[in-house]
Amino acid sequence: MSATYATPNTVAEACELLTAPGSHALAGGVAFTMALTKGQVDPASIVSLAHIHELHGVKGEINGALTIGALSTHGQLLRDKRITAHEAQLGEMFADVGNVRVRAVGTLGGNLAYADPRHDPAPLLGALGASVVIESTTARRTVPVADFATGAFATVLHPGELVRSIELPARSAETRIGWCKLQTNSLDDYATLSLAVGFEESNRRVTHPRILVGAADTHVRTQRAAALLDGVELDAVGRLASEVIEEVADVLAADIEPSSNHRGSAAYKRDLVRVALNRALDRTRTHSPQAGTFR
Amino acid sequence: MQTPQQLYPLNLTVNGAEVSAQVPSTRRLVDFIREDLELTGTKVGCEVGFCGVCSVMLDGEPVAACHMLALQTDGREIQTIEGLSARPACAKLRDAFVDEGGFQCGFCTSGQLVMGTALLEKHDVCEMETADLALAMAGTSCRCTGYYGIHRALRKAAQ
Repeated sequence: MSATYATPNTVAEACELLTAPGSHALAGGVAFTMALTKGQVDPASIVSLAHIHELHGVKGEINGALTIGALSTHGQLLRDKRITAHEAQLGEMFADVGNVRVRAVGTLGGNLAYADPRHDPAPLLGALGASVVIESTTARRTVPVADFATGAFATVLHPGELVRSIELPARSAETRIGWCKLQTNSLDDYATLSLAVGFEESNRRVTHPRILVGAADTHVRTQRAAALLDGVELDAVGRLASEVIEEVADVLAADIEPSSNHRGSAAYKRDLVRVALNRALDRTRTHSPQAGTFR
Repeated sequence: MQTPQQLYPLNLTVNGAEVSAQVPSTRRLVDFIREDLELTGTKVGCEVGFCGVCSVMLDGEPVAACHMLALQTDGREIQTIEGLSARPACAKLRDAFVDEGGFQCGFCTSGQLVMGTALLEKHDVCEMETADLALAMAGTSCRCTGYYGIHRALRKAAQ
């Protein structure tokens, strides 16, 4: 194992280097170094992105959108008031990624590009309608976070492409967001199941519903369940009828593909979907923090 | 025949001293610290970032040396347990660990001291609820003490 190591200063240079077979982009290095330790990767070349200035930092756009540089660490994001003002549950979620050491070096771009289905950011960012800005030597394209991972540890990224930033669209007053993370082992373990729901409230009806499930061991397609929410009526305090929630939970439980492991059996995780959906929907109406959050 | 490993220059500050070395690209920070610098207070434990025995300070923030490459620290400053006593919070915490029985076998102790020092420097531990203290130290495992001694030591050092 003898990998070359490069520290390009521009995105264009990095993209060029990443077209080479066996090349790996290095962001925070958390997952990459663990994969090296386990012998899961045998890189021909390592392209460190750390010196690329434009990949760092969060930029507020005039229209209220936020552009999050791919190399922003989870720790930086949970302490960034613009992020938590956009959605308080983002602060909670980032505060719950790994542990304080992981948050100090792990990056959002690296996290999404690694596409570990047990990780927390993708479901909530997907429910918020965030997009991934991808750059290559020849083009730039934008893919919704919800469509970015195509499976466990698989994304739409081609060789020679890298994640430049994550765009959070301007928040509308009608946007409702709820996130729920359920853990069966210790609080610093991965989620057993996490679920994020987002929709726009229009004339007391649900429009543009999104549901994303995390930690289900495979990438989860939830359009069928989300479609059931489209146009559904909300009561005076923003609640959905319990029969609707049950129906959506049944479809979600059928469509996710959890595996049995030390965090719980597949049947248990299918059951947890109902709990997570109810709690996440409750949180679309309130802004109370989830218990057990320390920053 | 294996090709010889290509080496890359690494210049950093370790415990206040400037260090220059040549390392392969895939050398982990923890292996660089233990094997190249022979600073063996930093331990290798779970190797997946969970246990905390490889914790070191990087530019004043605690990080896990098992999930970083040595080359990522080029131009930066690290502090290992060997140099951490220079920080007053660590010196107090070390004494409190002795007084309060914060360790038995000692394997996790250097990691506990690194993480505990970082916590003491940023938070008022005296004011923290037990549950918050446990959460703040989550990811720093001890398999002997049951944590009570560690929590007592943290509170004593915070006084």
